[in-house]
Amino acid sequence: MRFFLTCLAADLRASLTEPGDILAQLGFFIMITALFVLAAGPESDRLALIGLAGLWMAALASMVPAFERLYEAEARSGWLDQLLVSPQPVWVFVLAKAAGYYISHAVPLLLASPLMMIWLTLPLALLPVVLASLGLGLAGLILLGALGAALTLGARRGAILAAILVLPLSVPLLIFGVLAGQAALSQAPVAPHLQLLAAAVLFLLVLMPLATGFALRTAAENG
Amino acid sequence: MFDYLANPTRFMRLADYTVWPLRLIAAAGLLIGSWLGLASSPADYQQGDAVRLMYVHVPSAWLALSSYLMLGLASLFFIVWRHPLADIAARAIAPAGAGFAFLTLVTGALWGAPIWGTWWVWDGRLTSMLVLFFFFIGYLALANGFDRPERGARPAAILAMVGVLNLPIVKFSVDWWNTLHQPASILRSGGMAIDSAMLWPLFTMFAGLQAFFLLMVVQRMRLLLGQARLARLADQQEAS
Repeated sequence: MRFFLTCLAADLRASLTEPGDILAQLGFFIMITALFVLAAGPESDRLALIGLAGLWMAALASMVPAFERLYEAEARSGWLDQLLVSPQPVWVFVLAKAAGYYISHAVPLLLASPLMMIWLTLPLALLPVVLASLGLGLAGLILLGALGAALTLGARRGAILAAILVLPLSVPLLIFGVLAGQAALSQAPVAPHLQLLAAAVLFLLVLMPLATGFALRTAAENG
Repeated sequence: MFDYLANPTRFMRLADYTVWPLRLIAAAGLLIGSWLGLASSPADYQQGDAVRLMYVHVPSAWLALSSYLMLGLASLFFIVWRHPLADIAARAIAPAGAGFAFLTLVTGALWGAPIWGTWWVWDGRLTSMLVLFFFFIGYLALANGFDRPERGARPAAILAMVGVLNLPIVKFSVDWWNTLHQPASILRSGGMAIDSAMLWPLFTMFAGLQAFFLLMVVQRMRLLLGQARLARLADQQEAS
């Protein structure tokens, strides 16, 4: 637990001292949403129907390109090699890194999402459901991204490669997340979708840190 | 048996023997199956001649799915026993599997155009086959995404295993998504009992395509092993 907190604090400090990444990603998210509205047309009754899709697409598109750099600093500085020969379990580091990434990169998107909902003419009564589903979905996405980042360490075209790996795996998250929002829009029960989404995230929470730790070890061994 | 086959030289020798039988079975299966499917089997009373696409479509879908499982299995062998031959097998299976997934989608679209009146529906099965195709693409991109090909072996194997674990969830989520949005396609539901006149061409084509699949895998494995040997020889030449 202490190791987890140490890693988390270090990661947060690193990303907060250089907020450029976070701001760029947030800007990307806002721009995609705005351009989505431009592409879909301003008629608000139609826009509200596909607004959820736009929100999720913008969130996915703004999260995925940055995954490649998740472990870049640690790998380059040799910190990762040190970790792998140390007795500390790698999966704890992976979890801490994912948690830090969630706080620094997903929370800003969640904070900006009410504004995006206004743009997309989604009723603000939907806010709790959108925050819950997007919050869970982004957690799952980051866990997948952690694996994608670890697998593509040292690859050519790492960014696009990580995206190609992560996006098909994120299909269930997207589906359950959007269904929850649509259920709320049509006043149907939301809970089953959110529960399935939570189940998928829990599954990833168990599987991904192990697989990612293994992938990091592979990357370090092969240079 | 695996120990015995795990020696690349022995595998190569054995693989040499399998090539001709596989070629013969594949050619016979595909020729007889095509004749049965195109000429001797009846047209469907509702679908007409379009039903004949099924003789390619169904075996392809079957092969695409089973080859992803084989990919996962080969990857498991590679991760656990670290045997290079398992990686070679996985790398040989993946393009063939991707090809069959693609063939499934294309033949499905060709069949759907006259029967459903549309090339594509976001039906649960179509969507999960599409995602399966994406999984193959991801595997191939990762396995070949490094400057040294052997460096991509373990990441790709990890990806394939994660993919196998994830596939049921994808399948479930897509079905769930589909059932809420559109009623199940009438033509897909209620598995119609197939007449034996249509079952025989189906089985023959399946045997032929299966043999063709194995042939592609074996030939590609021989190619990859040969390339690896060639690279090793070139290295030795340079060193001396």
